[in-house]
Amino acid sequence: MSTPVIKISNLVKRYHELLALDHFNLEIKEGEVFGLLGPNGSGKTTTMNCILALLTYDKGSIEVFGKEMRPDSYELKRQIGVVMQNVAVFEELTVYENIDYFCGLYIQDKALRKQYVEEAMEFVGLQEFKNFFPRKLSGGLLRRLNIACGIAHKPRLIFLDEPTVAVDPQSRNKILEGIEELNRQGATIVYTSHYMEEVEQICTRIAIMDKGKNLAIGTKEELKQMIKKSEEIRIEMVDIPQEYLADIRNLKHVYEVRFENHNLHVLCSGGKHNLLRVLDYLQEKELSFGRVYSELPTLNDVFLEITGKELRD
Amino acid sequence: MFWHAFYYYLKSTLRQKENLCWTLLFPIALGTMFFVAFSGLSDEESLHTIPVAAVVKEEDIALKSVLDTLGEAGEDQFLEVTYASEEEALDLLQNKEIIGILHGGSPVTLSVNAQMDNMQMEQSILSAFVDQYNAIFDGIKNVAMTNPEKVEAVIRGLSEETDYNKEITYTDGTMDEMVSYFFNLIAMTCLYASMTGLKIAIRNQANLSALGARRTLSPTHRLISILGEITACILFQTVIVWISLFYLGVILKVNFGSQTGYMMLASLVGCMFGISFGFFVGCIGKMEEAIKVGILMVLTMFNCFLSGLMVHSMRIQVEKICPWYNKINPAALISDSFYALSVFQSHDRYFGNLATLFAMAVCLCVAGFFIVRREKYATL
Ligand SMILES: Nc1ncnc2c1ncn2[C@@H]1O[C@H](COP(=O)(O)OP(=O)(O)OP(=O)(O)O)[C@@H](O)[C@H]1O
Ligand SMILES: [Mg+2]
Repeated sequence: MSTPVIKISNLVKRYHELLALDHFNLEIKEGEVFGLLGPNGSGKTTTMNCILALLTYDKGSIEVFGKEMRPDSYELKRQIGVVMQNVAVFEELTVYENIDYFCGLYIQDKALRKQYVEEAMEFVGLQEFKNFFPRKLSGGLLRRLNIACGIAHKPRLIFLDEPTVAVDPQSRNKILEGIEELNRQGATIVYTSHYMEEVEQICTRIAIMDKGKNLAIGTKEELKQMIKKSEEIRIEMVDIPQEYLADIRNLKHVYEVRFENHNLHVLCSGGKHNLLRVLDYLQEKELSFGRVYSELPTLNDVFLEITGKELRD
Repeated sequence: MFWHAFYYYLKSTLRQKENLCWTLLFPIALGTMFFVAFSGLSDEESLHTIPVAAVVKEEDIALKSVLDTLGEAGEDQFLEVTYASEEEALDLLQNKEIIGILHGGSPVTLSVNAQMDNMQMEQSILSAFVDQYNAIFDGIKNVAMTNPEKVEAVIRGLSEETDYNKEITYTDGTMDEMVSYFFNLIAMTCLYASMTGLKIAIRNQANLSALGARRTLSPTHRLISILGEITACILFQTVIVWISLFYLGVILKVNFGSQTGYMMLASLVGCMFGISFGFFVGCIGKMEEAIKVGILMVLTMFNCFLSGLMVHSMRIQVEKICPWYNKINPAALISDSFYALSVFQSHDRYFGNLATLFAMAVCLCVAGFFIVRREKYATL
């Protein structure tokens, strides 16, 4: 684990006046499933394209496997697999041929290639669609083909740029499981998404980015510990007089109370038994209430606290 | 890797059935239309003696003797020469009694009447005659300067050559107006191959297409896969043109002459140029694909128009107004190669045209490669 797989220091990238990456720093270690989480336009794709030496950048340095990545770093490129945000396959070639074409750009040996292509098809579950043309595939299947084309050559480092956009839950689960499987087989994964649930589900470490900056980095537990909120209690109620809200606000560990849309929200930081204390109070005042929820913080809360806005708008 | 690209390019191209259909249908349908529209026309247009006026001075002995030979009455009389003064000659031309005026001097020049556009074929033959005459005469002058003792031999050669030209070119030649339209049609088909060259360029550049980005990320050198695709593309397009030639020549029985191998070679070089041209346009700038397609369409049509695809006389007009353009207009070069094959027995003009086309194709390809070679982009 000595040299990081990817090391980015002080990366600055401008598109004319627009500052897309602003002194961005990142280190990714071997064996990680690394999540780049950020809203639309935060610079995830730009970061990826800079790492891959597709884009020029204004400042900073990028190392991949300890070496500078250049357009002609064919040895490095051989070990990298990329699944881009936009589907890039040949309309006139079948599923099998598409995978074979892209795999063939990496693997010369015909027999080995055949085996890899078969494995890739199995991996994304497209065997039955082997001879289908891309236009006959549903959106989710097309995404799976896109993935297969990027990973068939068994790369050591895989970039996936929002591979699950506009995909049905079944395909999505298949894709996510696949990514975890690739990781188990030894690949380091860089995964970008603006779906926090996905990132939470599969990523071992996460960077939260917004407006080209890396705002926080860590495991999901670490990220959640960075913020004040540790629990959000939500209770369905018809109404609650204003003075009671102030009382609840003064309970131990509570730092914010809101009443919106017949829901009482109580935000707590730290401590245990917060829910019990709130329910005790309500019963004491003989207030009737409906269902009760207690939610642990999500990455969305982390994002909200760091940037002051929702991850998804 | 070359063959990997080559194989998959051919495979995907052959799969595009509609595309295949259109590429083939285009020359065939247009050819059939031309054929229907022109049938009958070529019979009336069979060659007669061409009436000309010659304005010569005392010292134009060589010209006079050539004109006299060509003007001798008989089976194969080529010219009907009237010697006249400048004014008389112009009068004759105004009254459309002659096709052109030959002005003596060095070089010999030709005037034709632009309003006589029903006589384009005769005009172009005269112009070809004058070109050839001047070329030969230049040759003699050079010889006279360097080896005066050989002049006589050369002059003897000249009169033989003229004889020979007279027979082949002006009476037995298969040149007629209809055939020249077909030559231009073939030229257009070759130039339209530029669309596929354009596609290759776009699909290989990361800043122009997602496919290009994906290929750029692979450890395969881009020039190798581009070269593979261009080769496959040339093969495919050339076969399309060969099929069109076959259809026009064998099914419609358009009289292209008998030099099939040379015609196939000309189609190959024509397609090479077309594809390189499209590839080059695809490589320059970050415009939308549709805009680049538009540029290619307009340029192709414009060049075909100037070379006489729609109006037969355009070619001659261009020759008068800006003759150098006929020397680089790819449509003119391609159709002229076919014309030269059917009219002249020597292949000098034919190979000259092909060499120009080939050189231009190589330049465009290399220029395209240089642009594509840049592999990092400021924006995608
Ligand atoms: N080619 C370009 N020219 C100008 N600006 C661009 C270009 N590409 C991206 N940008 C801008 O750079 C910023 C970062 O874009 P980027 O595509 O990296 O975001 P992203 O995080 O991948 O977003 P998404 O979730 O929508 O994919 C955005 O503000 C975007 O508008
Ligand atoms: Mg993106």
